[in-house]
Amino acid sequence: VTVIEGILSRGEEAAARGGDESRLLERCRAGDARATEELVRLHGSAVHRFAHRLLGDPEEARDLTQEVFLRAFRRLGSFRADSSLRTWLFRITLNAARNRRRSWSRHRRSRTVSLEANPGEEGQGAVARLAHPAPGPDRALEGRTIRARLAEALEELPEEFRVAVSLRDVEGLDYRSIARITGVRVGTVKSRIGRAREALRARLADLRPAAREESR
Amino acid sequence: MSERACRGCRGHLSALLDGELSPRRERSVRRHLEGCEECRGRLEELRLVARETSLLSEPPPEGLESGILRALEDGLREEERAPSPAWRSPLLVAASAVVLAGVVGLGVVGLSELPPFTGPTRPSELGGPAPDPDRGTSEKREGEDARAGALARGLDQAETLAATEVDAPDASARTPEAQGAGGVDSLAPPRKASSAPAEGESDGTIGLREEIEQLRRQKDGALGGGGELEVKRAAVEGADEAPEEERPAVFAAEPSVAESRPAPRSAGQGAEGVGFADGRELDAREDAVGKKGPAEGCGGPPVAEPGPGEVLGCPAPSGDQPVRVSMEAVEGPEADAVLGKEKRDREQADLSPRSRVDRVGVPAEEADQDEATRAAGPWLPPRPVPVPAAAAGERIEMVLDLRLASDGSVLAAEAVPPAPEGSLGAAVCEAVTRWRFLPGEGAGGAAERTLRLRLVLEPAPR
Repeated sequence: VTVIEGILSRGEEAAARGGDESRLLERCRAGDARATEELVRLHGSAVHRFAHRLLGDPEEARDLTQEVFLRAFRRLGSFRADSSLRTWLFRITLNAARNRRRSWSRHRRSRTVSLEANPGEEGQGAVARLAHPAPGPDRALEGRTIRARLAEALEELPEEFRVAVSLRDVEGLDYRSIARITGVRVGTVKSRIGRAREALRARLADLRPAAREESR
Repeated sequence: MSERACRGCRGHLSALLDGELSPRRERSVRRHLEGCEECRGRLEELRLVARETSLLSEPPPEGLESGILRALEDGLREEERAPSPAWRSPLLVAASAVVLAGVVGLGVVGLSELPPFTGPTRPSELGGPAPDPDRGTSEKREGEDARAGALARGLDQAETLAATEVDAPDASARTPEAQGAGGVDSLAPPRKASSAPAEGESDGTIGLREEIEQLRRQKDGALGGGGELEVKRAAVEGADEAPEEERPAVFAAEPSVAESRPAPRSAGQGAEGVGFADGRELDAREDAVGKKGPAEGCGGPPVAEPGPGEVLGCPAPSGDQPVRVSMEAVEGPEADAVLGKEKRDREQADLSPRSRVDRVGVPAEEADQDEATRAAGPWLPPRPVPVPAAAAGERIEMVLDLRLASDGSVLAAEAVPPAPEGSLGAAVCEAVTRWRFLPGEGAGGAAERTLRLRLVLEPAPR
């Protein structure tokens, strides 16, 4: 059980800043250019990363990131300190991305993947699809290959699952912050993350022995 | 280890990794893990997945930060120069002034851009009275003077809005007394229209107002005088005293897949299904704009029991432009509780966001009582939502901050950023205060809640 300990304890970096954050915001509101730069430096790449995860395209994500900051600065006054700035920015990002996609896919219904056709029956639906191993008995897959497949699998998850799991694992947010960003309950966040990881695990199932090796 | 115990344990492994289990649950899961190698293996795999996922972050692209800063500079500077988003433009303000004067409602007249207007805003299209000469005149002017033409439409739309006012009682509730009530100055500019931002010269606004006045006079003449809008407003105001069940729902069901036809709808029963996309979002369509009582000259003979496609006695117009209202809770810890309950089983059973179709529009009282139904899925404002027929051809998006009372009624609605008095945004806010959300949860209901809502009004796909 020792494996449980010390896992992903990065936590929300942003949360630690507390007072600094509100001071920074104050300065931004007052039009301090250096504060603005600081804020962009602190959060720009995270917003971009999340946007990339949402849109699947780095250039599109760059565009969205700019939009997010612009939106945020227009509404700096409405930011309430009951959530961290990053949480707030992510929420804006999510909404902006959804907007964008909505206008893209107005005419073509986006393909949605059901994680499981029948709950409880493993090997059905997307889990099965995600789990089908890429050909090749290769056990000694490099980390990069694992990652590439993982990234691919992540991309194939339905959005709400992808969002939950990447906010948790990539951005290191806690469930409560994720719930705030996505507007669902903590219980829902828990279930989404759990199921997303299950789906990803199934996708990487052929790496299992290697995985065991590695974790020892 | 029993299979059941394993199954029980597995649902929590992922949260165990994240340290998000309650201490009690964590103890029991760990106890199980001690004796179950299989579950330990599972945990390890999940841990690996989590770790690998955490390494997925790509380095930010070059020039990201400078790009953001440039965009900020440009964007904010631009804003200083022209601080009016589409829905705040003075022209819209002028149009919405009419709307406000008529009833609380929503409306868009793209005066500045003059998009082709396809909505069934004219009574004639609603099966109303035969086209009158003045209307013809205003149509002619449209060609010559776009602004005036658009204003004419604004008036028409205001009229339609009056007709579509959602809280309007059943036609039968409109008495001759109600019609008699009301003065002529209902079309006067709204209370504080003057504080609205004026683009360019101020006489532009005044000119618009004069034109509105002029058009109103023409219209009054054509309609036999008496300020029809006022009559409607009086009727609408009367609606507030009308019993809940008499209030018709304006939502029609939109099956998640069907795009082509407006769904049939029945008035008076207060509830119809609405297709949900993505749990918290509503796609509703307003397939007909007519909600006039027959007495107000929607044209055709009074229809006692409106059938599918008919709304309150008005035959469904043929060339209708449905409007889709979608909304989404953006903020507020209680967003779920307010807009709808997401049931765990649902999450388990079906993840395709498009497959959720749930009933909405159930009167609030019923919602209170019917816990079973309530738990069945996302809910929307049980009370009818004003659908802006005038939004046809135009997309409005705005963010609203709502303050909700424990019974689900709206105490305050404010646009973000704040909408100037008299603007369309303000009209939307006012309309939203008539909505009714789910009551607060728990005994006696929760205290006041806040909710940030993003609202999109747009023409629905046909």
